[in-house]
Amino acid sequence: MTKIETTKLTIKELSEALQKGEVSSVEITSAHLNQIKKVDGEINAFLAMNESALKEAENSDKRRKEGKTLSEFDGIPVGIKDVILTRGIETTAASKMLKGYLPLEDATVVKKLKEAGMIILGKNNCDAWAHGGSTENSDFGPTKNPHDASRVPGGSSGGSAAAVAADEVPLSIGTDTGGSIRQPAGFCGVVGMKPTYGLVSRYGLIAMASSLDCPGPITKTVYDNALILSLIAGLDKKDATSSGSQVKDYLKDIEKGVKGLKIGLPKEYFGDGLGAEVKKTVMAAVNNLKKQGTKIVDISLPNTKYGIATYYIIQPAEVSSNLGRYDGIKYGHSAKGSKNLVDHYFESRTKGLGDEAKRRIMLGTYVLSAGYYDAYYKKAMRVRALIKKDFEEAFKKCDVIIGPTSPTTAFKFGAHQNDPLAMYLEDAYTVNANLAGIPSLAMPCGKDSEGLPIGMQIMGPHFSEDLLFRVGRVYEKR
Amino acid sequence: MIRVTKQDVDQISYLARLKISEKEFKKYQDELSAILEYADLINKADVSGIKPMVNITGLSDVVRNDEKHPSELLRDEVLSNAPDKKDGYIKVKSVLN
Repeated sequence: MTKIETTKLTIKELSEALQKGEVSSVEITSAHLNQIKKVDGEINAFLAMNESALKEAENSDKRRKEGKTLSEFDGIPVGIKDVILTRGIETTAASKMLKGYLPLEDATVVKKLKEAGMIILGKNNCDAWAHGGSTENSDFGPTKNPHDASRVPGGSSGGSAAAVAADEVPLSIGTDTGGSIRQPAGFCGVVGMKPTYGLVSRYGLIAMASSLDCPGPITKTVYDNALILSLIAGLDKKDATSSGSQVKDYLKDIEKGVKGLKIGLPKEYFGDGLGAEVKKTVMAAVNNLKKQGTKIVDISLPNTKYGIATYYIIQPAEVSSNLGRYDGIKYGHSAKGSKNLVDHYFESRTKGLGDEAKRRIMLGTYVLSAGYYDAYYKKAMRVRALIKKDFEEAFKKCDVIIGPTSPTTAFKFGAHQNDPLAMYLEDAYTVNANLAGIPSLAMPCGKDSEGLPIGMQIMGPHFSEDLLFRVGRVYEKR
Repeated sequence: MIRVTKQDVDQISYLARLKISEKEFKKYQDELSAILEYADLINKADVSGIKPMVNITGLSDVVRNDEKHPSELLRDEVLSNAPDKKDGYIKVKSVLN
């Protein structure tokens, strides 16, 4: 047997190598664990490890020998963002509030990966509670960008994107509330899908903003991403907002090409504030797709400018409600020696929650409080409807929309220190897809003069993931 | 412009069950004011005739039958992460002093 460098392989290649008997799950799993050992001291993409990963790999190999393989993914390793519950593996949402917390259940996405025989290697670092765009807000130290350790990997799923970029895992499941899969995928040069809201169950996510949260795959290739979305999508009776009827086979038409498709370029995504190199590179990708038979149409999403303002009302409002459960009673950090119950709440929460979580809780409580609800929250829900309408109008003129994922490439650590608003504005191109609930596929489209990855995103109407993969795949194979 | 007053910070921190130290009051006043000032942008949007949107994919009132199902978890498991417990119950501080 020739020695294969399995950490460089895609899920598709690993699956084929396993099926041909060229490599075992134990070999693949060991190689990835070795890679983690080698690079993660610097990268810090992993928080907790699954101690029984190798044992599970042995079981996978045994199943394969007996002809009882669970799926084409049986024996392939995966990382899970730390806001997603994994039974028996410490899950903290990268917050000291949940240090030592051992979930009793697997999130539905995790359950589906395990039922397919995939091996969970460990938990990926992120901004605490998924609040942030750089992983600098993790209570357990930031993740570093594998392309340049002086720069952030993006966030909040920064550990997931960095782990895939650094060959520590071929797949990590992230979550995207305002760009948290796409922006780090862009910064790290990997592929990330934020699916349509409700396509992938939220059951078992440590909720951030429930009307916006979407779990999705981060992978090395568009093809791998489609493979994994097919596995994790679908109705879940444990998530009343999940949508079952719209699940498609994302591989069926993936090689069909793009001839005749119309790509919309929203002028609001290419205006002031967009870095020149990012703009040039995304436009080069668009021109490549034009050569491959698409038609380019100029469109407008006039309410884009209200995106961040709307998002930073709705999201903290939901955060303030969702983080209300961390009271030091059922689990999590619990204050000692409080006088009475209400003091116990105050003391547990004040010590256990970090600055950014507190800022969002305070902001959310403010916009939901009597006298401000109509002016902020209710108004934001109306503007959200406008933003959704923008996309509906645009998709009458085009099949998909392409734009940059972020205004710049990965920034230096500390660049937005002491300025929360500047950090929030990083999400200017990503939040609108969340507000409108539409899917968006982020993928690399080149590098800047410093060698840092540049990302573009392909957006489509609700439940058009198959189309996004088709377009992404054509570009990937260019 | 500071429009979030000290009293506001006091009131919301009480509602959110967060203790704010004396020097943090100013920080929260400044930060929340700056973010809300930015958020004011939404008042420029023309929302006449637009209803507030709650669910983005159009689902509403998803209910299940009111039937009981056995728990998938054992009592001891459910209690395993609780910091303080006694006789199979979660123990809390007294509500009244």
